[in-house]
Formats: sequence, structure tokens, C-alpha cells
Amino acid sequence: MEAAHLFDLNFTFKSRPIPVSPELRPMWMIAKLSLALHLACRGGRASVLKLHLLHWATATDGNLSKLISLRDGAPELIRFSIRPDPFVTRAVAFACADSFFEQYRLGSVQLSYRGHLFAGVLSENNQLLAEERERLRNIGKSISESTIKQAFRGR
Amino acid sequence: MRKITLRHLRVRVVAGGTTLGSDWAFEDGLNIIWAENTQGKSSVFNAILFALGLEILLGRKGELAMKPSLRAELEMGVPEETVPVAESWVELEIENSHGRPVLIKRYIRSDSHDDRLVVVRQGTRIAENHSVLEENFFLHDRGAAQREAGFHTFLANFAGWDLPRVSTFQGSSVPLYIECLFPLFFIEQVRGWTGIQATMPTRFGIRDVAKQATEFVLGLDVSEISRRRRELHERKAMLRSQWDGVLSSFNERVAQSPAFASLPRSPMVDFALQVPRLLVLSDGESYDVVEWLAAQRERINVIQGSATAEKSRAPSFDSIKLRLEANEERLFIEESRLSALRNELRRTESLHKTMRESIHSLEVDLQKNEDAQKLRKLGANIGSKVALGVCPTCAQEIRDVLLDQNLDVPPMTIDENVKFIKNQKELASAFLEIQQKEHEMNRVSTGAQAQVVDTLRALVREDRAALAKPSGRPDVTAIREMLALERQVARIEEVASGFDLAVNRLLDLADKWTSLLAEERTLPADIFSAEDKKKLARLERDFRSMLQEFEFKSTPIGEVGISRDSYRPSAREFELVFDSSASDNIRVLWAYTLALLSISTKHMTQHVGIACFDEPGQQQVSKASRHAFYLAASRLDPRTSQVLVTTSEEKEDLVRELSGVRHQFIDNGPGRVLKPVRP
Repeated sequence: MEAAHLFDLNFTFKSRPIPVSPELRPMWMIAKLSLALHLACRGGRASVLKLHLLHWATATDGNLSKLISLRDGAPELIRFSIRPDPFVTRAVAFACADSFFEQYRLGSVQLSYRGHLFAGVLSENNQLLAEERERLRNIGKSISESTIKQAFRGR
Repeated sequence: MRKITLRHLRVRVVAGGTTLGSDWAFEDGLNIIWAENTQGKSSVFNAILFALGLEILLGRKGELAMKPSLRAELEMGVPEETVPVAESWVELEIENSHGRPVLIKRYIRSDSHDDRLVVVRQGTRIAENHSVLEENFFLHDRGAAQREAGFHTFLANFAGWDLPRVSTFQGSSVPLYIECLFPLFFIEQVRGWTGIQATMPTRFGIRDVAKQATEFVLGLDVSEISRRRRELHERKAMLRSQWDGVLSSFNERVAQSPAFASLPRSPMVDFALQVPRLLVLSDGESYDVVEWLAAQRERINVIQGSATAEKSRAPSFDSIKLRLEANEERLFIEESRLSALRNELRRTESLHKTMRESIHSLEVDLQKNEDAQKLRKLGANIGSKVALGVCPTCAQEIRDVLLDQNLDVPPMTIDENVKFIKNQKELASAFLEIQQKEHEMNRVSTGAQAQVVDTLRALVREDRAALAKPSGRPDVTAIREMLALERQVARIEEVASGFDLAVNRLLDLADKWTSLLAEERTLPADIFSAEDKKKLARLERDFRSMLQEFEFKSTPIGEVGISRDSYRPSAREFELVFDSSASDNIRVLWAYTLALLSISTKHMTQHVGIACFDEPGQQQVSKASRHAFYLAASRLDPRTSQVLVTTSEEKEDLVRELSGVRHQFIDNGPGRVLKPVRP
């Protein structure tokens, strides 16, 4: 078999769809953020920045412990700063347009009636988003505005 | 038949040296319990739940479920001042279907009684106060130190409930706790009105808890079938692991030996027809173990014969030396062969491990994708446009990803993604199968080769020793060879008997497996029995007609039904609650709760026989609808149903809504609920 003659053949490329992480599906992210508002935000409302933070913190146990350390005023050894995640931003936009969230103030959102129903159903079905729910319960409603600022600014 | 009837509720609070409290007596049929707004909201409802140990439905445990005025401090006296609560308790008199009365007492605030303790006096009523035995039951905690029995166990027995066992997400099995049934009977003021079974506790981790609870309460036969199916599933799993156990203990025995047998890795029905033979690998050929053993014994005889015939005449120094050199060369070759085989074995082992890991991560990924599918379906059920792939603002089609919508390479849809991963997993599993077979053969060859090397080493050692001490040494090489053979034969005979044992065990398991599969085949698919269908049809009819009476508007009544999958109200494929406006949600809860109660009068169910509504939405629903609700509640047969409604509506409106409605009106007067009483 001569390799050279391969160059003369006509190759056609067919565009096939690519697999995508399930966490990048809009409904997944909206579900996760609804749960976050329901379980970790007073009155089901929060700044969008806080949603970014909660998304990051509930992604892994490592992130969760970093947030807890920051909240509890741990030694200066904990250094991290996070950035807003464009996927969260998009999901919030979708959620507002789709009546899951409502604009509360500039830069803040709250759960709408539909959002509350959704969060309620999600709290019931123990299989879905179980790890994230566990971590959100761990965080509780204890994250203050100053903690959020610190997380984004870095220490 | 009513399982439990509420007869009398008593609340007492001791504060500032006085005893305050209130009493409510309940009758059959409809009871309207009125309290002035802001004074008594939810006191009665919450107190009943607290007495029954069901305060989890209120979202709190223990005394915290009760208002501060009942456990911490309250305003009393003239002039009003704040006084701490010294002691407080709730007493509830209930009856079961046999008319047997029981008095329950539970302390809210007390220095001497834990709030997890329930005191029960059987055979007496609040009015009679006979002196009977006091029994202590506990709630919630099952510590090793507890000697008292569980209160809910007592309550279940009292009501005549034989609670089924259900599985949890952790894989264990627990009873279907009473707490899971009561969200269908008690509609709590704060969260209860947001949906069907809205106050369902999730802390037990029970799979499909809402559906299982409704199935049990309706007394459907289908749950028995599903239970048997689940049970069979568990027995099959256990049998599989027993099979696996026999296989792994046999494999342990056979390792390091040139013997092998390809036993099926999972239970087979016709194992008896395809029992494999035990084989021995020797010089690159496989022999049936019986043949091989016979051949080896033959060789032993031959050696024995020639040894005795020749009277072990010592061979010459030179012949030994020649033999030694030949064997040493052979040994060198065989040792390198063994080393190569061991390397290969290590390679296939680590490949094996890698492949298992990648299959595992595929499984995790698949699970997550399937979860994403469920989330999308939930979103669609709730009315989301995004979940349907449509932009809520401009109604264009949108891709189901948070990535840039205009990427050149299109992303897969979730369904495509799930299919993709499943394919990958199948491929990987098939590959793993092949790889496992290869690994098995490697192991056997390595074992056989190890034997060859051992034997040669022994011969070489012996010949070296013979050369070192030349004179008068008999030629023991032949004898050594014979001994080695005898050892091998003994070893393989051991393996062979282990094999026979394993095969017998497997034949027995295969038999059991066959009967399990036969049993499984006798189970009908999850279809409802004739009685089940009648019950569900009636539930649907009653539910619909009540919805109409209550002036439900969100969906045409003709499209409303009871889902045969979730047993909840539905319209087309969507669960009704999510589609409706807030006041129609309330109407749905009225109709559903009453309908469940009403079919219990005509069919055998496990319904408790009570429905309690706490503040049934006076702000949101029209007076005409409320009148229809009270009317419907009063029309249920009072011999088998008891309905409690606690409300703080304007009395004028209430009286008008109750015109023509048969009911008992309970009004403990204006002002505070807790009034001074005789201790």
C-alpha cells in the first residue's frame, strides 16, 4: 500500500455533533440555581454574583471547603479568587426570560412562582442534583455580602 | 371504615402560676373550628399533628414546631406582661375502627418530660379520666438505651395499618413510615397548599415516596405486584453474588497451577447441559484432567519400574555433567519465558484496571446525562419554554446548551448524548470481555510455566549436588522426578475435587436461578387489577365533579384526569398543579383530598378516614367556591369520614357560606385561644 497515493484521494468531512457535558444543559443549570436560591439565599433572592459563587462552591467538595474556610475567617493560607462563569450568566438570562426568576433589584434576582414550584419539586426528588443539594444545605443561608466580595477579589 | 377518629383536643400551658388552655371536641362529619384572626392561627392543626408525633409535616421537630406562646413565653394578665412558660402539653383523644379510645399526651415544655416521649393511656377518654396504665412511647430517636417502643409503631397497630417495606436510595429497606402518608390527609397552612403532598418528608430517602404513599393509601393491588418484583430482583442479585463467590474461591484454588476451567461468570439456566471440563495445560497443549492424571500416574509407574529394575546404579560423573549442562540451558530458556509471561500478565492486569475505570466513568457520565433528561422533562412539565427548545422571548428554536448558540459544530441533544455514551459503554464492555478471556489464558499459561521452571530447578540443584559429592551417591534424579510428579498429581487431584464441589454448588444455584426466572415470568406486567381500575375511575369521577362544583377554571374539566402513573391530578401529560393559577391550585387540593376520602367510603382502602384543612385559602378563593367546598365536605358519609377545617375567616362570611351545610361549629370565643382554666 503506497502512502503517497492517499494524497490524491478526495476526502469528505461530515460535520457530526459533539457530545456536551450535561452540566451545560440550560435546564440543569436553571435547576441548580433554583435550588441554590431556595436553599442558600434568604427569601429566595440573591445577587447574581452570589449565584456565581454558589455554583462554583457546590461543584466539588474542595471548592466547598474553600468557601467554608473563607466564611469562617480561616488563616491567610487560603488564597483563591474566582471569576464569574459565563454559563451561569447565560442560564440566569434564560431563567429570567422563562419566568423561573424575576429581577429583584439591579444585579439581583429572586425565585418567581414557577421557580419556587421547581425548587420544591427538586427538593423532593432525592436522586437529582443530590451532591449539589447536600452542599447547598451545608452552606445554608450563611453567606454574607462581604464573603462574596472577598471571594471575587481574592485575599 | 375510619382508621382513626379525632375526638378531643386539649392544650394546657402553665405560666405565671396560672393554668391556661383550651379544649375542642370533634364529631363525625364536618367540623368547622373557628378562631379569631392572629390569635389562634394554626394552633389546633399544629397541636393535633404534634400530639400524633407528625410535626415533621410542619418542617420542624419537637417543641420547636409549636408557637413560642406555647413553649417559651406569652402575654397574659391585666395589664399585659410577658410571662415565661413553666410547663405545657397537648392531649388528644382518638378512637380506632373498633371504637377503642386512647388518650395521648405529649409535653411541649417540661422539666421532667422529654418532648420525644408520648404518654398513652388506653381505654379511657378525656372526660372519663379512668385510672389506667400509662405507657410511654418514644418518637424519632431509636437509641440503644431506649427501652420504650416506638409511638408510630403503636399508632400503626392501633389504626390497623400493615405498613409495607420500601427501598431507599442507599439500597436498604425501611417501612413506609406513617409520616409519609399524612401529607395526603393533613393540608398544612404554609407549604401544604403549594401542591399535592407538598409537606412530604424526604429525610428517609425512600425511592418514589409520593407514589408509594398514594398507592398504599388507595389500597391498590399493583403495589403488591411491584413489591414482589422488587423482592425477586433482590433475590436474583443475591444469587448472582453467591455464584460469584463460588467462582472466586475456585479461582483462588486454581491460581498458580496449570489447571483451568471456563466456568460461566454469571448464573446460567442450562448450566447442567454445558458443564465445562477441567483442563490442564502442559507443554502448550490442554488435556482433560482425567486423561492428564492417568498419563502422569503412568509415568510415575514407569519411573518406579525402571528405578527398581536398575537397582539405582549410580551413573558416571560425565553423564551427570552432560545432563546438568543440558538442563541448565533448558532452565535458562524456560526462566526467560516465565519472565516474559509474567510481564505480559502484569500488562493485561493494568489494562484491565484501566478499562474498568473508564467503564465506571462512562456509567457516571451516563447517569448524569439521564438526570439531565429528567430535569428537562420536569422543566417542561412546569411550563418552561427553554426545556422545549424554544426561546421564551422570540419563540425561535434554540439549542439545548449554554454554549454559544452559533457554534459551527452543532452540539448533541441530550437524547443523542445518552445514546452516544451507551454505545461507548457497550463497546468498552465488549472489549473488556475479550480482554478478560485473554487475561485468564495468560494466567493459566504463567502458572503452568512456573511449574515447569520449578521442576527443572529441582533437577539442576540435585545434579549439582551429585557432582559436588561424587562417590557412592545413588542417582536420585529419577526419584526426585517421580516425587515432583507425585506432588503435582496430588495438587491437581485437590484442584479437581475442588472443581467438583464448585460444579455441584453451581448446579444447585443454576436450579434456583431457573425457578427465580420462572417466578418472574408469572408476574403480570404492572397492570392494575379490576378493583384498582374501579377505584381509580371513581377517584377521577369524584375529583372532576368536585372541581367543577368549586368553579375550577384553569383547564377544561374534560381534559382533567388522574394520572395512572403518579395518581395525581393531570391534564394531558402535565401534572395539573403546575399549570394552574394560585387559587385554582387550592381548588385542586380541596377536590383531591376530599376525593381520596370519599372513595374510601365505597372501597377498601388504607385511608385514615380524616381530612384536615388548615386555613383553606380565604384570601384567594371566591365565597361561592368556599361554600361549594364546605357543602362537598359535609356530604361525605359521616360514619366513615371526618373533616376538620380550621379557619379565621370573617364570621359573617363564614356563616353565610355554611348555610345549608351540615356541620359542627366549634368556637371557643373571641380573644386569645388560651384562656384561664381550672387545672
